[in-house]
Amino acid sequence: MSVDIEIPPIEHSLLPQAPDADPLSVEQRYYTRYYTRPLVQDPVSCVPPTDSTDSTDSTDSNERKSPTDPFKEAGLILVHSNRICLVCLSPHHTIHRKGLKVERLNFQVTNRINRLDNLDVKGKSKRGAQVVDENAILAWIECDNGERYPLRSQVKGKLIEINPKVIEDPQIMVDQPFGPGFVAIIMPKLPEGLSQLKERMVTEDEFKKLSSS
Amino acid sequence: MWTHEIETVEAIQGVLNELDCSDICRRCVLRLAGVKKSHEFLKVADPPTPATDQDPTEPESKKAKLAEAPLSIPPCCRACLGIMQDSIMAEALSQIGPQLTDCPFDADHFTLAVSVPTSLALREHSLKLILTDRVPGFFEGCVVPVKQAWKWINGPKFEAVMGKKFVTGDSCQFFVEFQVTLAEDEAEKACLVDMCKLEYLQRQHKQKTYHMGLVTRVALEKSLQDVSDEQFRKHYPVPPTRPLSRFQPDVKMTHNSIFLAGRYNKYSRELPQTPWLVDGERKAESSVEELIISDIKEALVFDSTNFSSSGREDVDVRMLGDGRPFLFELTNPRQTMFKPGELYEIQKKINAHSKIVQVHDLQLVKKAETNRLKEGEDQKTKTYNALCRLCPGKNSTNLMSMTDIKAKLELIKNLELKQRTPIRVLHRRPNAVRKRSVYFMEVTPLTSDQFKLRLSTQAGTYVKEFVHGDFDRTIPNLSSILETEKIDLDWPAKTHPS
Repeated sequence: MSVDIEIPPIEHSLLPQAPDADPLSVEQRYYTRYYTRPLVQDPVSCVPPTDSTDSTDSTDSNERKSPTDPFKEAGLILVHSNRICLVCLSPHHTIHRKGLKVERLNFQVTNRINRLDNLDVKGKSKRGAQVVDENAILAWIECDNGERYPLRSQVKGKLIEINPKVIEDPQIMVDQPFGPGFVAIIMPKLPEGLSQLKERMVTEDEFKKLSSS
Repeated sequence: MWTHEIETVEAIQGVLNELDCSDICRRCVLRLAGVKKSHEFLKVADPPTPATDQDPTEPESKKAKLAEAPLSIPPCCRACLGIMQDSIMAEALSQIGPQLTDCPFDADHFTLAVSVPTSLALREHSLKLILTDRVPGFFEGCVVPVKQAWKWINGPKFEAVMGKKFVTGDSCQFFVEFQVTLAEDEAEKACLVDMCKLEYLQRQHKQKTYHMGLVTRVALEKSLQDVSDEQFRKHYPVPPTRPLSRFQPDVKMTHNSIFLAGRYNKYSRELPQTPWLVDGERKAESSVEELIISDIKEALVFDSTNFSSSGREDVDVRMLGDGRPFLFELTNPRQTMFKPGELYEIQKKINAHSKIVQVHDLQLVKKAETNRLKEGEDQKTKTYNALCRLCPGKNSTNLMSMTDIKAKLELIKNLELKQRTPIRVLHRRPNAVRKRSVYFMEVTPLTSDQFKLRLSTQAGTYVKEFVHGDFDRTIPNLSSILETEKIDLDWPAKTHPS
């Protein structure tokens, strides 16, 4: 061993940080939060995104046609520094605003597609995974008041996994949106998946600016 | 030589003379006759090549025939292109002489090899055909390959020029290859396309498989095996014609790789082990590999390096303790023998150069020992230091006391974990569940919300995820036991035999 090198003990070997900074959680250190752009309050100009991949359902189109609630499709994506995306329920979503309780998550999103069937995903490039685009529905959130809301992917790519914890206990999606309550892991199609997401959605700072103006 | 050998030699010589192929050197005649004793070849010193085209007593018709091939170059044997002929080889040796005498390799033994133009096989096949026809004692299978006979004669010649000892056999690590290139090689091979039309038509279409060239050595040998005599004669002269140009000699010297091994420590939290590139852009300035190799590159000359190590650590993790075993393969090294202390000097330079990487026990190892490097990787136990910070959970305002934490964690032995692939590596690893064990833990409290954790785990355990839980993709985890979230990690890898 070299005698000239001083090896600081671990507590003194950390990368420089502001000394009084609050300790950041794992989610805060490694992920960037992206929110759906806050919509203008004028209900007439609200045009919710059309769902191109799933078959039409009459209740779905009725919901789509009622333009009064701009928050029912509010999305939150946590983007890791390695570009993996976690799809979460936004704290600005109607469910939060109305204080609704989530009864269950229904993953049978169309007649043919069930998001839980995504089990045969092999290898580094995740072959066999369900391919989703930004409008694809990952789950129907069924609330205890009978209403249901679609949770959309927000990013184009491959569905890697549905969070098993949120299947057991959907309420954590509401209670712990930043991290533990994530619903799905998506590997974005590079490069356009991520770049399109960054165009359509905004970071937390931008969101605050746009909301207050 | 045996009597029957002498007879065969003379019979062959006779036929060749009749066919105006008397430029074929005596040594080639010997090898065509199947003479296997190397000293016979050496006895035939500097075989003269009779200038048959200058004989004034030749009948006109023969002269006219010979005049077809204009003699623009001094005659050489059409069977070996002159490489078996002392005078021609002497010329060639003087051309490549400087490369041999200024040899940068420090090896004191060498083995010899020769690479000949592919078209030589065509010439050989052609001679075999004609001799099978005309000489009853000739057996195609007895012909000594030109490469073999060439080595018998030229070993001593190269020895004299290089000042190194010529050896044969597998134990030699240093190779000298005499390369013979003939300008008309391509043209000669082209006839093969017509000779075996079907085969080469296929090859022309399948560009991808046959991208190495339409007519390769292997392809040629196979074609010659299958082709019929008449088909061959239609497309290639039997016997072969004189070569139109003299060959170009060259020499290539290579030495087997040497291996430098050692152990390294890493004290930086911003240094990757190997160069880190994303989309062609560097994400970190340097790497452990590059810091070690830069001083080695200054001291030694070699073609390239291959780095490997017994496991690796993250960019933001230090490597403490005795250090991690690593290996550098240096290909085609010019220096292969080191004076005592020479490698130690290089090690000192590396350590003086960069404070964030330190190397120990730098040494030369034999190739046979190199597979020991990977021994520690998946079987052994690894020991880590982690700095853990408590963040109170959403609903609880009290932190567990340090004494309670210490008591609780140190009681845990051989904890079995189920780890799903951490999200931070999910982009380059398949999604899977891994069973791993934490053998024991030691707690050193620092403040009311920080403690040092020393833990011993099974190889392949994701320690960061064990501490913070990765949103419960690793269970159980410290977070679930204690609600801890922040970690910084060290790795003193004291590997224990399991």
